[in-house]
Amino acid sequence: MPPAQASSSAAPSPHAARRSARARSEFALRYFVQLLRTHPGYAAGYLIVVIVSAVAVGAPLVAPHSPITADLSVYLQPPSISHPFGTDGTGMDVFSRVIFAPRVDLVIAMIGTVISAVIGIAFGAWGGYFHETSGPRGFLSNSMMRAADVIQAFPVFVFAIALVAVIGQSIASVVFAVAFVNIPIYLRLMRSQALSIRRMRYVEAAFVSGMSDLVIVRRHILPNAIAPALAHLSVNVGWSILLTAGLSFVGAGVRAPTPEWGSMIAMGFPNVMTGQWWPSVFPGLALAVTVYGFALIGASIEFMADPRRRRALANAAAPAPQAKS
Amino acid sequence: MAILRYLGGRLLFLVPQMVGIVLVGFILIKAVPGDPATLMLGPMATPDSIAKLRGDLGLDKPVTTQFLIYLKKLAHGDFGTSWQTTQPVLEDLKVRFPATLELVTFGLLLALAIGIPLGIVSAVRKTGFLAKLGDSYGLVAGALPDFWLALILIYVFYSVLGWVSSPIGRIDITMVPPTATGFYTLGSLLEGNWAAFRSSIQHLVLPVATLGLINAGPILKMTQSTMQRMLQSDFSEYERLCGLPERLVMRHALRNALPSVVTIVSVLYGFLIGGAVLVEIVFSWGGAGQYAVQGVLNSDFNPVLGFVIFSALFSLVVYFTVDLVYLAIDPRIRH
Repeated sequence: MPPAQASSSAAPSPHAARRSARARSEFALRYFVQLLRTHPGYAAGYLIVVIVSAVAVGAPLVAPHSPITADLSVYLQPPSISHPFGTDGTGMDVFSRVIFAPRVDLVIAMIGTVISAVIGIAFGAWGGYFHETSGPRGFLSNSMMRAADVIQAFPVFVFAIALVAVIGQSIASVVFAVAFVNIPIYLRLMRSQALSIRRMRYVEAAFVSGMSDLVIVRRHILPNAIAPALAHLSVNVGWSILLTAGLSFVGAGVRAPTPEWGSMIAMGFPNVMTGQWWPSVFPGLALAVTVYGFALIGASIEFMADPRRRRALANAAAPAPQAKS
Repeated sequence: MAILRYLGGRLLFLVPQMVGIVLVGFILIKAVPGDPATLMLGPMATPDSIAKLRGDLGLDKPVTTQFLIYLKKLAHGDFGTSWQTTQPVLEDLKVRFPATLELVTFGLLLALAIGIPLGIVSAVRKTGFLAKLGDSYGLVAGALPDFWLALILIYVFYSVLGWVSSPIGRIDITMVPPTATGFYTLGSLLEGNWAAFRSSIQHLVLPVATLGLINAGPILKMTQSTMQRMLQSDFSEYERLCGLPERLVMRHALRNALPSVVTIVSVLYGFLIGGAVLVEIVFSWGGAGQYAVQGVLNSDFNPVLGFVIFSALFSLVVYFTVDLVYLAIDPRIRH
């Protein structure tokens, strides 16, 4: 039975349903804690993302200097107590800029990913449901997939830069480019799920009982097909951060002096050649650790999605006095 | 015969896809604000000369006609002219595409040399350092920005240790680049020019290391998961029960894991033609990706479209070759 129906269908009493729901969420929580305890790496992933987000929110409180004020009297200072990560070629404090950067990188990556997921999931479910049906809707569904083929045949990075060039360089257009190149992934994930689900008995039953296509897609296809797409979100955010930083690195994304990891690495590039490593190394390190955190969360979701490994862990997480008859 | 028909069918399917790629690229370029004629002639141009150039370029015709003109020119091998280099795009790409290909090919070979052995070892051993390394390598490599890793390598091996020569370009600027093949390493070998060979290897080491280290991740992961599945499968169990030595069981498992490794390699190969562009930029490699990015940044769009078409064609050739490779390594497909 599709989860969306669980509450409205004939449960013995609403009270019992609520209690079992609470028991289930309690079990999920205990199971999650068990997962983090047995796999400290995953816990580190969640910790990294929480810390980076907290630092981004509280950046003005943490940063010792202004992230965009150049003080030429202290340019290219190595790391010291007043400048923990040193200063860059224009005398800006690298530490403060690294702290402020996730405000740009994280926000662009998250908004971009969410937009692409919403569009890709909606159209993917719709396209999978109408795949190879006759009439204009089937035709539209197929054309949509061919369009996705073409988009994916483009080299991602060049395509993203071209998109930014077309709509003009700004943070909004970087978000647009990130969202656009990611849509086909969700489209495919969702469509392949929808293709198998639409053959299920409960979908047929819904159709026979006279539900409209739109309601079937919303009530049955969407909730049952969405898991793989949601599981991809975390990895995708990390990947989008890399894309944003890459765009800014070549000068097609966020422009200096706005603190952003990719453009900071680019600004420090000439200094690295002459031996001053800090203006580039620290932002890159922050970037890599953040992406790594999102990748670890993605790996933990992948772990939980694997029924065999989940069962093994659930057995360990279940309360001990479970009588086995 | 069935095989030929299958491959022919695939080739036929590619034509509409190529047209689609050109169409999307064309629309993108048309969507860019700014008049190419004005850009080409500069701010001092008279309205008359701009109008004349617009007529010559076909810019005064409807967009659909312009697209057809572009397709017709493409069919004759005319990719237009780049106003940055003032050369035909095809001539530029003939020099730059092999540069990218040389970089990507060696990078991928290094990635294979790291990824496959580590993948096998971590599939076989459940504990120990190598197993741990195999498990975390993919995640770490996937999180590292390639342009940053390139900088770190430059810092360590050029700025501090001084083991490599200046990380700019494909060969020392004082040297005459070898002309045979598009690969400087291969070309200098064929010409017997040892100094050029040494210099080109010196320039290759760091970018290849960057690409190899990062792209070993997906190869390792694929090798590991497929090997694990194969070693747990019925045929491996049966071989063990029959008392075959573990080495032989491993070899058969590896043979069966090969197709999925070939798949990931082909995907990476196609991806890296455009995906190595940041590494190209860091090392001023002068490759095709860098050419395209500079084109976008300077509103010079013929190179961009030319590069996109080239790399799409290349991906298609790779996928086509991989289909043939499948036939060679997996006898089941032939039936």
